[in-house]
Amino acid sequence: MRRLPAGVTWPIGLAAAAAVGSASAVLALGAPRAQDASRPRSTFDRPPVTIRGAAVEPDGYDGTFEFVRVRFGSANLSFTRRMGGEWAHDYPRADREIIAVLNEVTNMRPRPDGYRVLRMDDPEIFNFPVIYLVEIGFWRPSEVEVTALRDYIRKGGFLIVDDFRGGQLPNLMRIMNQVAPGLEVLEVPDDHLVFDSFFRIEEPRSLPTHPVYGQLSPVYLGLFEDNDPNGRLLAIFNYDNDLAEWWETFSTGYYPIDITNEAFKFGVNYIVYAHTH
Amino acid sequence: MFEFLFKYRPVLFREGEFTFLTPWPVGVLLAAGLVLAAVAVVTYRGAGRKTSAVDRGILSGLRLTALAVLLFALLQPTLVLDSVVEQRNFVGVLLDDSRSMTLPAETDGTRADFVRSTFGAEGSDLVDDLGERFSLRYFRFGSEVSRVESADALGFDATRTDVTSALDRAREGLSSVPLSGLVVVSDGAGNDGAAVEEALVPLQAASIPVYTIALGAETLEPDIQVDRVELPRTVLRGSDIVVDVPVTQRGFDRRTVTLIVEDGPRRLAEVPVEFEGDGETVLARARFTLDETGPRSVRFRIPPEEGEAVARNNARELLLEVRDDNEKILFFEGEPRPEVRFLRRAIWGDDNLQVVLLQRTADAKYIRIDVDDGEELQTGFPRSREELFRYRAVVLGTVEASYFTPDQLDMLADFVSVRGGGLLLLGGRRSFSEGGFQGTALEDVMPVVLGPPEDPREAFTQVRVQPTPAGRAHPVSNIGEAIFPPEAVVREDLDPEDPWSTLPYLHTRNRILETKPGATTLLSGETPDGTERVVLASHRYGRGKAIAFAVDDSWTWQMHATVGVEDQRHERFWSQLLRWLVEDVAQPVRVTPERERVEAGETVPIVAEVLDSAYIEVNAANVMATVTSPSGLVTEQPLAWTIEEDGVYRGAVDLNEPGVHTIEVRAAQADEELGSSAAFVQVGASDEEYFDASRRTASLRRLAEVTGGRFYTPETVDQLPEDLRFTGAGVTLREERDLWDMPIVLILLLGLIGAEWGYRRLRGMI
Repeated sequence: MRRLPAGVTWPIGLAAAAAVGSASAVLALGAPRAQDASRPRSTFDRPPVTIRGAAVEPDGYDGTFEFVRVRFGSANLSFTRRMGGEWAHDYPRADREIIAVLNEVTNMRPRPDGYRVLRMDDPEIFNFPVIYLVEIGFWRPSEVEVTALRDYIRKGGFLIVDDFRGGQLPNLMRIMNQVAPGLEVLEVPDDHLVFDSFFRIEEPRSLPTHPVYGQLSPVYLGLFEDNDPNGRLLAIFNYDNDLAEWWETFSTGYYPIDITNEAFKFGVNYIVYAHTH
Repeated sequence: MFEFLFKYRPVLFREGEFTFLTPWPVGVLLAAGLVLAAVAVVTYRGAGRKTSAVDRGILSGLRLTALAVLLFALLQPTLVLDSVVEQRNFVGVLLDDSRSMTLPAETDGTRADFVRSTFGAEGSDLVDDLGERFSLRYFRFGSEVSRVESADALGFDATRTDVTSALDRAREGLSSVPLSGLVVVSDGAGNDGAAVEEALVPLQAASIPVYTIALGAETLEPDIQVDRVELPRTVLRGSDIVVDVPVTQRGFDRRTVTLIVEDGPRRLAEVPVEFEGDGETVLARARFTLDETGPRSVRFRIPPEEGEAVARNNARELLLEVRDDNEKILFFEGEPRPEVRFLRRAIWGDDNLQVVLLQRTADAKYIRIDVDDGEELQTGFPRSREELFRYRAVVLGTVEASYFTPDQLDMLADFVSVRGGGLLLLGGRRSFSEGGFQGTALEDVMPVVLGPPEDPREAFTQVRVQPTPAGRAHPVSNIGEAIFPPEAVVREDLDPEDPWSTLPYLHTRNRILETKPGATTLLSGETPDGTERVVLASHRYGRGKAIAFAVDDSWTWQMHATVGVEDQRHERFWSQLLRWLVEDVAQPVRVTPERERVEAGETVPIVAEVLDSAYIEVNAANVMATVTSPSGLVTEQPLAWTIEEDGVYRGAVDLNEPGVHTIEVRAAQADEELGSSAAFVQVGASDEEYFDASRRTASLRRLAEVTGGRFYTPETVDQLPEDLRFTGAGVTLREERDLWDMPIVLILLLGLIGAEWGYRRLRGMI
């Protein structure tokens, strides 16, 4: 089990301290997490139902919250900064940091290493009720992935899409049209409960985009049950915005702490909302 | 034979007193006897060499025994009896006027035929014999008791057999005259055993013997009977109802019949019932849903088979109220976790369940969802009884015991035991032992036994959840059929028809291995190491119920990859569980009629319990019962505080119209409305008398024996007049009856002398 060193003072709102990882975490990009050797595998050798031969019991699963990032094969690998593709932007630091903040400010108590990467067509993904996906403009989902995401949302899973801008929007629209044909991608009202589920975020649009992202005005889009913008949110899309960029660079000290704090508030709110609504 | 040998029947020896009436001094007789005995012995001692010592012993013994018998006769043995003075005493004859008397007697005709022919105006040998000695007073009894001239006045149409009232009424009615005994003529069917026991005490105190004449056969065959069915008093509209209907049969073994469940003309369910051996009861499990609100009369029936002895015991009808209320449930969850989202999602759109969520997201930080106003739960978990008791049920998520003050824990315990609410305790890392609930007031409420706490992370394990036999008979296990995604492959050894076998495994951190005495395990879970865990268990605690659901992630049943999108098992499970949680939860004002089915014109006693918003009994309330008849006629009847019990008010209402009457009770104190509740009573003929309508020999025999009377059947009833003479009750005369001339004395004497002679001859002594 990977443990992150604690002790970095956390300046956000209620938080006093947070465990923040350094670059010591080693994770093979694009690969599922290694099995936790300290936990014996289930002796239930033959599960009642299998999907494509898989038992769909995730390795190392212990029932605590895990931040799950969706991995997808990119159509334009030249853009990638890392080996794995666009899905991995800000990974794994952003994931570690949001987990640390959740652990610090809420009483969800996720493990410090409670983040993993799964493909949308991996049946294991249904063991996690919240998934996170970035750079959706580069995702060309297969039929299986579209079906899986449709089922995921219909069953009650919550999708957070971050870090996409400009010309990526049509791709999001196209994918969502395939995933949820009856639902429209609508703007999330500023007074929606998702902005008040843990922190009260008075003006969601006032969050500036990260300097590396350019001068953009963030827009919050979403899928709503029955297309009711005041109703239950099924998925949220941070258009022209990149929360994870703020999260990732938090520990560098290069950027203003109060803006970073605001970015964390969105992440905490999304996840708390996804667990309660 | 006994009467031939001993001259009189055994009852006379039982009732009489044995004594000797010889005028000679006993000492003289004994001395004479001893002399004769000595002579006999001496005589045989001198019998000479032909005899051995054994011969002499046997012969002496025979002669001495003969002398003893002779001495017994000379002592003038006598039986002293208190016999009634003819025509000075009364006998009450209680005739069963109920419907079961129209069923076949043991031999020919019906039970009613025997009553008419024996106790009718034309008379019979039995009545003539009785009439020669006693003044007879007849009573008919069924639902009510009344005096009649003879059995000719009986209609045999009463829907109940209230033998208790009959005995009381007859005893009281004949209290001013010398009473020799009461004769009960009945099949015993439809009697309440416990109530009969109560009636025996005054009879025993007054030394009034009861003589029972039992009618009917011991078993009715061939016959099918739908036995007693239990239904909740109230259910929410749309709730699943699962009922195990016991069916007994004789003469139809190995046959399959159909149990039909109906609500008026609407057929709710049809269940095939396969009979086993004769006399064995099989359980037919019926599942159905009631969607129409108000009082519903649900009928369970099996169409009569050809040749059945009693066809009218093939159906049962029960009343229950289907409510369309908004049941308010407080769900307090200690940490954000998927269980909350998916529980709320499962009952989304259910207008009958309002789950008010108090979600702790951080220390002293809460989200409130679905509250009625801004003040509700503003300061977190309720701090007063009034605030907590406004909910019908509480779901406690994973919240550690130390979060609560001792007062709040006591209040939660009272919420169940005093308020009568439902409490559902969910598993999690802050639940049960892991939440530190040992030794708290809430531990007492839990239906499960808490073990030592464990490290929640270490204790985390899979469980394969299955209903127990009790669980399969419970609505909570009725989760509908499994729907799989297209790519799913079901293990070949599983039954795809069993929706539980194909559910994903769940996880738990709470090692719960046993339930408390009286609790029922509905779901159990097997862990990979083969341990059996308690997953869902419940028990009654005071007025309410407590349920433990000791798993972390039932949401997996909704979200898992092996569960189809259209699968409703998770939704149905939670909907059933929460509806059960609020089922029959007490109101501050509660009305209970003494009987839920009566005949037209009967008076029904009603009891109301009146509590305030903190569920403390109120004694000085104005309590009014409003009765609405089926035709809409409204009458009011005030109820009065009983004084003996706090908060309990009593009254009675007359119900005359056939159909379902609504009795609504409202209570107020000063200007404050305390609450109201309604109950329903069906007026109409009942078939209750046709159930278990075979002769109740045991209860009728007990009734006779406990009071000093006797038990008869039509074959032995001719002994009744003679037996009644010696009850000792009423105006009696002391009567002496000689016993010296009993045939047995002469037979013994001749036999002994003859034996002595025969032995002597055998041995060549003569």
